[in-house]
Amino acid sequence: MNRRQVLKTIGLMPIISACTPTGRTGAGNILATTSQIGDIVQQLIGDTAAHSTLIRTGLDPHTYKATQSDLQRFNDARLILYNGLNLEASLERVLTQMPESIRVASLADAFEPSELLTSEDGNAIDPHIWFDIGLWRRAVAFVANVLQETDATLKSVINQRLPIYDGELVALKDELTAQIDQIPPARRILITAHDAFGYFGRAYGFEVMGIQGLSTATEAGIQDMSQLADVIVMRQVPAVFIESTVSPKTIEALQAAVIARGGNVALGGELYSDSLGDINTPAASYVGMLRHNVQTIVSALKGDA
Amino acid sequence: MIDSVLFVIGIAAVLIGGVSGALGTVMVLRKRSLLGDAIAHATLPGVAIAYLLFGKNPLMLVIGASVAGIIGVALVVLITNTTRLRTDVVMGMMLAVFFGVGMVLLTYIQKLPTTGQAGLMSFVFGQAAAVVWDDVVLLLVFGLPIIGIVMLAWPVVHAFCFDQAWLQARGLSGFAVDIVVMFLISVIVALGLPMVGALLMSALLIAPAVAARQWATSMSGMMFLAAIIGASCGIAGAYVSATFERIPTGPTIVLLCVFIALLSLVIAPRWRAMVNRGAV
Amino acid sequence: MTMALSVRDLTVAYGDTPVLWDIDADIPIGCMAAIIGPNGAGKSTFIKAALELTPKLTGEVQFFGQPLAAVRQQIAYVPQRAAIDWDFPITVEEVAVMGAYGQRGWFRRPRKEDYQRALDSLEIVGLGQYRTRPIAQLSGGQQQRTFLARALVQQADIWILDEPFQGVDAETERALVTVLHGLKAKGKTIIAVHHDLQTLPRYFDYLFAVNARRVAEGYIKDIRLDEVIPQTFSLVGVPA
Repeated sequence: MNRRQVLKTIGLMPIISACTPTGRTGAGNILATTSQIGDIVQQLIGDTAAHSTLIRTGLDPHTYKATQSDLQRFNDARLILYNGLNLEASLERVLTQMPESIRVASLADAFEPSELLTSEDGNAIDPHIWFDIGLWRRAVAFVANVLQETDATLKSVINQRLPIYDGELVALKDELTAQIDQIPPARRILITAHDAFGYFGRAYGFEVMGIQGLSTATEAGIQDMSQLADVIVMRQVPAVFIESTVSPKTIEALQAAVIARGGNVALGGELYSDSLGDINTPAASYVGMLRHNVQTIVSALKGDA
Repeated sequence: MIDSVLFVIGIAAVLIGGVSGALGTVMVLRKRSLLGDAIAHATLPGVAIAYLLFGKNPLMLVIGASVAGIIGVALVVLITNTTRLRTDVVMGMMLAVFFGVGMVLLTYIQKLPTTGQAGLMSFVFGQAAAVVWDDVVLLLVFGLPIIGIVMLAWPVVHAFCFDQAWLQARGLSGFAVDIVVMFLISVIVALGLPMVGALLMSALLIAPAVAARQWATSMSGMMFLAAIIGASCGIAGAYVSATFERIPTGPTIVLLCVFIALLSLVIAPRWRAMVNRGAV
Repeated sequence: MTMALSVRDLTVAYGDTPVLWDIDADIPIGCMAAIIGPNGAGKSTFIKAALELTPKLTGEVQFFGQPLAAVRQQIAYVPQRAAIDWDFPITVEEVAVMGAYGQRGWFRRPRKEDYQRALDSLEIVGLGQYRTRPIAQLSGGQQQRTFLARALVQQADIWILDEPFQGVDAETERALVTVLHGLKAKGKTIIAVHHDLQTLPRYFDYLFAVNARRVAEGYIKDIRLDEVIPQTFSLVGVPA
């Protein structure tokens, strides 16, 4: 081909690709953004239909940026489930502009604004809804609905599994509440790298504080660090916690600040905040993740009760 | 009893502000203000590669950042000298390319099968609250010698900034001095990344020097004043961040430096006019 | 006999264009030499190449019979004025004292006696009362005199000046010539790129005429200026 022909072909490619229909019905992937949502799909339909998760475990959805191959995965999906409430901050714009042929559903639509927590200044809604089992059961029901609407062949398997899983979640709530009762109320102070555990605090009676705000993209100020260090010293908080998706640097700096004040605080362990655990770990499922978190928190905070 | 967090971050801020202000003087006087921004953006791939090779080791990250900065600038010098492109054009291109490569690498890193984040994005935006005593030690070990070198070789630096041709006629390679200066700037930029991040670092280099320029009558005076301004804004920014809630330290320091620069630009000419009238 | 500046086969090109071609020169010690030629003839290039400020294709250059590196301390170079940033924060006496930089190694700052020499130099060029003046506030002639003072502080044996009288007022020009003649009287060698043919025989005693090639060289008293000058200024470029 001479140069002209090559240039013409290259020039026509965008037009050609735009004419190709994207998205399918009846075939195609069910794509979840976070591993938590991916777990819902897994629990509801197992291997009945193809599904996958976009944001690998251990990665931070607040700062996750889509690559070209991710965009391809969006285009190959027939249903995309995402958390919303600005959790997947840099993905939301892409997701809300997907073509009509691809169903996109946000878990945020399962809730009324009044049920959700807001940030201190009231400007942002806390997206970490999965830590409230009550809210999560509603999310599971919502996803079940969306799945059935997208693919009627899934109805039977969902109708079979949904009640069982829902029951599991109810039982889990009781189990975890009993565990947390081991922690005297005075010691129920949960300090982590960012404000991910607001719903957890509301559900189980914890005071929750984070070094960074609702999103890991924010930056903490010195006053925030100092205040936290003071709280830890004054109320003798036994432990603070790192998160699997956030650099431990800020928590370690907090610990150093506490020690400099003559206090002491242990690193209570690693919590899963914005993601589940890796496959082949107990925290690879939602249920397992909550159990791991509560176990870690309880053993660090309960003291010698 | 000073709050320990303010103490540690305050010292780091003073060191970063002071050394940046001093080195920025050289850049501003040689009319190479874009250089600081170019170096800051160039450090990103260095941070990413250092992480890939050595993990979260803070010393290696700083070294990686310095090396990348110096390579980026060396490329600028090379391309400027062998083509007919102007320095600022090449610098702008290099800045964008290196930063882009850095972002690509960071996005690639986020795909790797290791759980947990390295917090590498904090090198782009800064996370001053995470600065601990080890970071201060790095600053002292690498930052203070920078000042020492400048003071020791003052005749070279002074002549280099004022009349490079004369210096070359006296037998010193302007090119070599340029490389050394850029290396020193790369090091301080790398050290400043955890505090203010790559995007704001150039302001910390330029603003104190611009402010000092309005008041100083000699280069040594300008450098001294720029260092003072940088250090003062450093401690002031840290203090503000320690007094009010939800105020990030790095951006506050930069804002203060820029404010002082703007103020100086406005006030100094009027002040001089008043003095002249009064003296006459 | 040792020459102040001795050049053999010097060729300099910018890209593909030859600027200087096969230049030989023997400028004696203690003379005041003028380098003349039309614009673009390579006058500035000649001294820049000799001082290794510009790369040369071929050629050997010796100062006092030695390579440049061995005798740098003995050479004072006063470039054309354009290269400086006149807004630079520096005073007249700071520029002058810069002449002392490097004389005792580059890691030593100037001492009191260096500052004194700088002051003396400023007096010689007539700028004594301006010593604390920022250079931005100087006139063209005063700026030129400042750089001359710097060269004086260098205590060099050879002075190489690029168009020292370009754009200066008459009084400054008189002062500069007086200083240079004073140096010559002390046995120093002055080599200057010069543009004003009127003042040529009055100021200088040695001539080097160049137009890509050397056209003429020698003591002015031995040269037929009325022949050499037209010859220098009418040649067009380098024969291919």
